[in-house]
Amino acid sequence: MNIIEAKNLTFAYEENTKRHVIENMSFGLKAGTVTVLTGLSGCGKSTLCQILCGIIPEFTGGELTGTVMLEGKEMALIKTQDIAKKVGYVMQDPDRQIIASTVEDELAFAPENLCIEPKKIRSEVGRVMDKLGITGLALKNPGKLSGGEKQITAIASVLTLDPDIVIMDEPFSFLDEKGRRMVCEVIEELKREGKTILVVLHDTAALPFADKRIHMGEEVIYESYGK
Amino acid sequence: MSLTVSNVTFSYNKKEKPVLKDFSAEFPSGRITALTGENGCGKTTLAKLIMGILKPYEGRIMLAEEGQERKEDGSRETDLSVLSLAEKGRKIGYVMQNPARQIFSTSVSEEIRYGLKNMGLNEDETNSRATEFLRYFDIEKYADTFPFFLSQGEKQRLVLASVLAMEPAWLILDEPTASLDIKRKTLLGNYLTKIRKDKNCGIIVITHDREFAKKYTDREIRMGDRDA
Amino acid sequence: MLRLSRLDPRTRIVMVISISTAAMLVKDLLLLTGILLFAVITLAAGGVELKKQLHQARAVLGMIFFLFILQSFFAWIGGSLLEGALLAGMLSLRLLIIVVSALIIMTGEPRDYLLGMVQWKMPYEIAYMVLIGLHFFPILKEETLDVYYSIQLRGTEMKKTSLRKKLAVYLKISLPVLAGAMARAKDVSISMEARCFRIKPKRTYMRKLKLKVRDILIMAIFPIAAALIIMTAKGFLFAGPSDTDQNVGNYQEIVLSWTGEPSSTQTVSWHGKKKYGGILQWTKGEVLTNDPKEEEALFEENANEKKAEKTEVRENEYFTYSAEITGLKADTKYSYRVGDGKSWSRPGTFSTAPKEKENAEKGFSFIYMGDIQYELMDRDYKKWNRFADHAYLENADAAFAIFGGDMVVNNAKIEEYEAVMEYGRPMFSNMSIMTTPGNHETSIAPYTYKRIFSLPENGPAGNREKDPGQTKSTDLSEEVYSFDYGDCHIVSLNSNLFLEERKNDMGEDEWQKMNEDVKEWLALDLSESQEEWKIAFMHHPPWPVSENAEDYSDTEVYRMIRENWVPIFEKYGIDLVLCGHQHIYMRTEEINGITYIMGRSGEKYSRYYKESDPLPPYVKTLNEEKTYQVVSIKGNRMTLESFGHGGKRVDKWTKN
Repeated sequence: MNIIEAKNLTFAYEENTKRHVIENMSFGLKAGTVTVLTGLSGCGKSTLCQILCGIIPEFTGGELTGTVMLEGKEMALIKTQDIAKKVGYVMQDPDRQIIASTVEDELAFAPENLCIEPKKIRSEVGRVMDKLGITGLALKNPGKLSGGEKQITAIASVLTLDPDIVIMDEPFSFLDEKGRRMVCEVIEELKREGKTILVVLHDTAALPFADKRIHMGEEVIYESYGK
Repeated sequence: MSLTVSNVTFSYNKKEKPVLKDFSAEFPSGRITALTGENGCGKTTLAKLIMGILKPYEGRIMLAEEGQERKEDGSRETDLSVLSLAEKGRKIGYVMQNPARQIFSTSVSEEIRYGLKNMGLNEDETNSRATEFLRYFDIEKYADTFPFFLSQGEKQRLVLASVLAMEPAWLILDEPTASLDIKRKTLLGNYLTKIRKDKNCGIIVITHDREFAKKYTDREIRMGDRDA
Repeated sequence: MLRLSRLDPRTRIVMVISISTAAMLVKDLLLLTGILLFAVITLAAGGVELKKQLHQARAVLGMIFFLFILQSFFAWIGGSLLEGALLAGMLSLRLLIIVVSALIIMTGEPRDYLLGMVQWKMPYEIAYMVLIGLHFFPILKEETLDVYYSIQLRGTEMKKTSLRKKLAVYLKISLPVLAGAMARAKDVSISMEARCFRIKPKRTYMRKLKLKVRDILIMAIFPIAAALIIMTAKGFLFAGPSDTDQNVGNYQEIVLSWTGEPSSTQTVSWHGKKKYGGILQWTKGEVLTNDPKEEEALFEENANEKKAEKTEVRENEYFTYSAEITGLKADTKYSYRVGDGKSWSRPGTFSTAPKEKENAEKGFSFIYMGDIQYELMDRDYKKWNRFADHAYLENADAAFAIFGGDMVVNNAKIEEYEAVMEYGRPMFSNMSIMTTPGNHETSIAPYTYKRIFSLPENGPAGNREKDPGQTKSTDLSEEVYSFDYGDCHIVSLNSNLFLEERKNDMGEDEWQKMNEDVKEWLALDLSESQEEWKIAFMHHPPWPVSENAEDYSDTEVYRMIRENWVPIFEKYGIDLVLCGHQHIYMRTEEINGITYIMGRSGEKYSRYYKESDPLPPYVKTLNEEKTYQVVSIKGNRMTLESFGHGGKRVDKWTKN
């Protein structure tokens, strides 16, 4: 069973328009796979991401038809906090996501919101930093980090709830080679852990280990890279 | 004709190490130079110094142009630091990394016309150029849209269109391909090649995109690693 | 050395609040400098590199210095350089203290402060709102600048353009900046909500701030120290120019009065802390300009001198010096000054009363003011000063002024009397001030009041021994007296004689005897007076404002006045009775030939007065503002007018 199953997904920001940002998409994400989402700019990739992590239509409004199943349950019926525990969403620009003034505080943000016990938070934060190799940055101000380090911090900040699915919107756009390498390694590590990952990209070549590709253009194309 | 950077030293903070130390480079016209290097090595800083957004700096940045008269001291060059931002903007088109910060009009067509009007073009000339460039960058259909609603890539194309429409003799583009897809990157690359040839433009492209650099630029200046 | 950054952020907040509060409430230059020094030492001891911080703050420091110069300059133009410089100095010191406080705060991170506030029960939404605002402010600044540069690079020339064009550009770029800020806000909020922000009403915190012993100690010490400093300052310095008189020549708190015949005598009293009281000089005529030479000329040639008599008001602390001049010519203007022979006070003037009945056609007027007594919270007599100033300026040729008691709140506090006298200038130093004690000047007997003011002692005699300390309840000297001016006879009575405390102190028998003495004297005094007009004044009213009196024991007093004195007033032709006590302006209808006026010249208003109260016999009341009264007597007409703020007339009454 696919961990995420979307059927006949159609979405428009305004009600009753013909201008659908997403038109009749159906696909599934298999657990433990890496899927790449490509398409021309403005075609709805970010919108799709936000649907899959429950932000749309809950926090933004708009007309959504079709269903999204998360682990077999309809997403519209799951509470936001439960979705957040399963799906982590990393935005394109880490500067629009990071709000704390130290890396460890940023990582602690999500579990703090869920009233998790401080000791447990601390150990989770430590675990994630260790996994991503950023323990040394714990007390640094994210604003002063390099592009790659910032992006990894943003990714790390959704991992502290240990979601099974991670959605990343163009994680490489502001990075140089070194940064790209760092983030790539992180994604690989997450795949090793068995997480399901959806990455929005321009350039497929950047993720050689992707399993599947969804391309949103004039029509939606689904490709598997078969193993 | 070239844009010459001589012995430039600059640091953001007196206490910190200088981002650029005694840096010199030459950017000839009729050439597309790629400016590469890791994050933090000073590429964007250099661009901002040339445009006068950052100051002060030690050293000189001079521009030698076509048809320049000999000055009193015998040189044919202009010290860029004496020009105002507006004056510089007419000579050198500058596109920053984040396109959203360079858009200030309430519609796409107004945005592209703004610079043209400042140049003193008449109504017809303005319209024809605006249409030409909007079409080339494939955003004509958004002519009446509030730029805020465009996607990142569309915004980038808008800024490129607006700056390039002014047809400056020089161009500095900072990560122009960051939000563009394959098709649009090609379009940009082709355009740069064209103006380099037809108009003898001098172009500096700051980029991480190795493929783009390889394909469309003539020469590369690689800036050193910054010490940690 | 204890690093400031190591302290709990809440500790730092408490430190800074203590320092700033002290700085705001203290008006003493020396103390302020002390506070500043202390703050700087705190900074230094807390491990902050002063030199570096001062260098960074140099723009602000420069501005403070500039402000100081500017204010001093304006003060110099305005004529009072010293006062202006002092004020400028206080302002600068306060600003500097704020700067230092900011430096103390800056040793910590905003999120620590907010975490501290949240642990002190501030809702976390607010904390995050502030935090995020701070976080994104520099980014917003950058974005604004980038847009500003872009618009210029697109050919908009900003150098040498008109202000109007510049404003148009600023307006234009505000749109994308705002849109950008809103877009960013939207993204940030999406990211936060995707991470469950505000899902639950509370949240936990990975890092918790813990107060250490040193934090608690500092949080106790600083506020206590600040409170001590503030109390000291309030004690030392009471809102007034009557600072410690440093110079021997600094004679002040001058009050004129009559202890003898108003047509041929004048008593001048002044007050201070020195043991040597000084000399009174007087001469006919008037100094018309500010020119010291003219003053010298006037006094040097003709002045008479008299040495002052000294009365100790508070042992070794405060004295009254007074001198009575006799043998003056009637209806004449004199100038006077007090000093030590080398330095002198500014000259004042007084005029003697006309010979009785001689000026009946010309007439005269006097000022009456009821309770000043500021509310216990606000002992700022400066407000009253403006009022009194205005009353004096409008009526500078008034013959004298009568005060109905309750000028102070605390009968034993010298500072309050000082304030009344100092802020009563120039009225107090240019016309005779005839007063009666209110309940607030009285304990058993109004001894401080009597030591400060000099009043006639022509009251009831008998076994009324003069008690030098004036503390004995049986001593009525200066409490009950009368004097004449023109065709008018004025009696002053002390209604506090009817207070329980005094009665109990004397004992019932003594008190009955005293009561009789007063009544006997009153009847005699009134029957013997030849003047056409008769006026009486006292503190408590014979006819109270409303049934809901403030104090039921007061009702007794009112009743006793009606029982004991009013019949005598009516029998002997009193025309007008002036009183106070209930903090409201009142005028009665004529009751058996007498009109009663209650005055109030302070901020305190009546809490008990209701419009709907049945109020016979009052015909006019005013509770909203303070007033002063001017009584004019001319021939066979007496007019009373009441004025409020800015000289607005609020009442008028005439009797023919």
